[in-house]
Amino acid sequence: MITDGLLVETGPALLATVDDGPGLVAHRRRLGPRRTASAAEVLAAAEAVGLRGRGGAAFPFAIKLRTVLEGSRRPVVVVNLSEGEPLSAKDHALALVAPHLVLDGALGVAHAIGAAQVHLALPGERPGVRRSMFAALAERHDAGKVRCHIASPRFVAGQERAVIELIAGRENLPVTTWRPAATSGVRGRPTLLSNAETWAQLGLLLQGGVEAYRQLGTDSEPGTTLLTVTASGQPRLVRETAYGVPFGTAVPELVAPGRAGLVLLGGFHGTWVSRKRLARTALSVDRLRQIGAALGAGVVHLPPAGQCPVRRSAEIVALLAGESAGRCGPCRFGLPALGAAIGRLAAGTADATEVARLAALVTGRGACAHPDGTVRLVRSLLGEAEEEVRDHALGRCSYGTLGVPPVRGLAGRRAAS
Amino acid sequence: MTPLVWWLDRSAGLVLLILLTGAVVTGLRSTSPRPRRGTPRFATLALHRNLALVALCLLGVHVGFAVADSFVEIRWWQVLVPATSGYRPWWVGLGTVAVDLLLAVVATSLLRHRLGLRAWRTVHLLVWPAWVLGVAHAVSLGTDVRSGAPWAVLPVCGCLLAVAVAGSSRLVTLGRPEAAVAR
Amino acid sequence: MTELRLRVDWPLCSGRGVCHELLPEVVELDDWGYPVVRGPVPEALTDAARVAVRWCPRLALRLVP
Repeated sequence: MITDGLLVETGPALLATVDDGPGLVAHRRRLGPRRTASAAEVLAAAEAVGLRGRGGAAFPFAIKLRTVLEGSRRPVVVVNLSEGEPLSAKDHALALVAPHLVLDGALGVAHAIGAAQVHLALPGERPGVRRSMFAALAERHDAGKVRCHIASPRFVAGQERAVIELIAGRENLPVTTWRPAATSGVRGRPTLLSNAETWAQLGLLLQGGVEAYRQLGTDSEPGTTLLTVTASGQPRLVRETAYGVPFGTAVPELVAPGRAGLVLLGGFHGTWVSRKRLARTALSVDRLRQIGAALGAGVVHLPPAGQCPVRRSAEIVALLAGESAGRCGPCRFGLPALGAAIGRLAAGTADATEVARLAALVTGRGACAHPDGTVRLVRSLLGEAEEEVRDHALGRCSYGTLGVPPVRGLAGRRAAS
Repeated sequence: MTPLVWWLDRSAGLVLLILLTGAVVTGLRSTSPRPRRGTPRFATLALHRNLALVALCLLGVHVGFAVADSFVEIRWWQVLVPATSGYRPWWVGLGTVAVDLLLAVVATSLLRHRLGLRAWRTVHLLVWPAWVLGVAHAVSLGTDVRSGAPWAVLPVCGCLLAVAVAGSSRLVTLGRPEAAVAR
Repeated sequence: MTELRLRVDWPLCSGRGVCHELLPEVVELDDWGYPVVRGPVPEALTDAARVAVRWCPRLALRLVP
């Protein structure tokens, strides 16, 4: 189904209702009336399926929930739909196709844990998401205390603390975290903030039960996950895949002709991976970690065959440097410096020494992981594209980019600061 | 007895103004970007704090003498409540307001780690009106300044000049990111 | 004895460098004047670390276990 510029494929669980429409009636017809559960039941279910967050960090949800339940004050539930990663469209797709699944999960868990408030962080630059979620909220009877917030259209606006700042009425940018959000988040309350897809998974779990959930995926990683497959010149594709399936089967586009040797997994904060190696690897958090990659936001970006990964990385780093909030010194000055260094590498006028030095310098310093994500991309380039990097250091490029003036980065979607 | 106390009061007032000006100037210097060689920042900060504290002591002396002096009618509580003294209420009042402001600044500085940067900084800016009021108080009320005695007029002019120079230097660098300029 | 670490409140830090002046063994400065904390605070330097925390003009430093 094509909607809002995206291609959304029907899937086995989350995206099963693509053809039925996003309405509440069809949703209830398929999944039955909203089931209530206790906090202990939710915790047990999350542990039984080893539910991990789908926001990029793959943090075990049960641990987060447990921390929230240990708090003395009434907790807060936050649905993060802001999808800061520009290449990702899975949360966008969920909002358009299965908004009630997201809301079932969030409101079901909010009810179970006695949450004082439920907040929705919506993307500033994807109006289709807002429209769909407002329509879905209007249809429901249990959404009275849901408060909506519009995130600014920039990468770091979707970061956990940035969202909490937005909800608190301050600027939608990250701040240094002294205690985890699950302990002290929105106005000091224990805050259960998760990605929209995580809430949708919980909705599925609450409505269908653990046994049904475990029908898909593997024993150690049950369930499915959403991927965004992107290739230039084609609309973004959102597809649901069960865990355990080899990537080459889950994403047949990987083995199609005319593709570059390296693909970008996880988005702009992701890693370059050999296309062939990835195709053979099972879609599993643990297996991917073994090959030095991570699913991240679930983006599989397929560059065309003639594109130089060094040049492309330089463009991405320039974009990411532009997306800095400009608050923290190492990011504000370090990322542009890193961008300049990798730009020189791409231009064939320097080797990767300065790139590596700056990458180490900006890691782990800043209020959020924006520098860390950028460094992850850069280090994966140095690791996976050794030959291309060596060529560039010697002033050559097998893709013929040298001699062509460098592109000044993709125009950043940065709001006026 | 009284002329001595009166003289001590005025001297304390003058030295107090100089020290307070020193505190203002060192405070400005500690924020402005400058090369790493020369006085380390912690030294400027320590000097700023020490000048401010000594100035505060002298403030106590100055105020103490003013109250003790039987020639002018200033009660102790009139030190804190402006425009109520029997002697030249408005000009003394300027000093009184300055005292109030300075007390607020010092109290918040001692508690700054509890208050957080924003709250502390907002109150700290009150040194500006405090200093200006102090100068106005000295010029309007200061017997020696008004009589044109050079040993009084020159330091006051010096204070004005020092703050003007340090202040304008700070204004210029206000918008720039500190670290980028410092290297 | 639990290990103490110096942590920087990054949005507050403006690279004044007082922490580096007071505790160069633990805090170095990067290319732009911002602090790079090298490892935990050795026990012998705990007091110096507390001084550094107190003197940060932007209240951007904390000593945490």
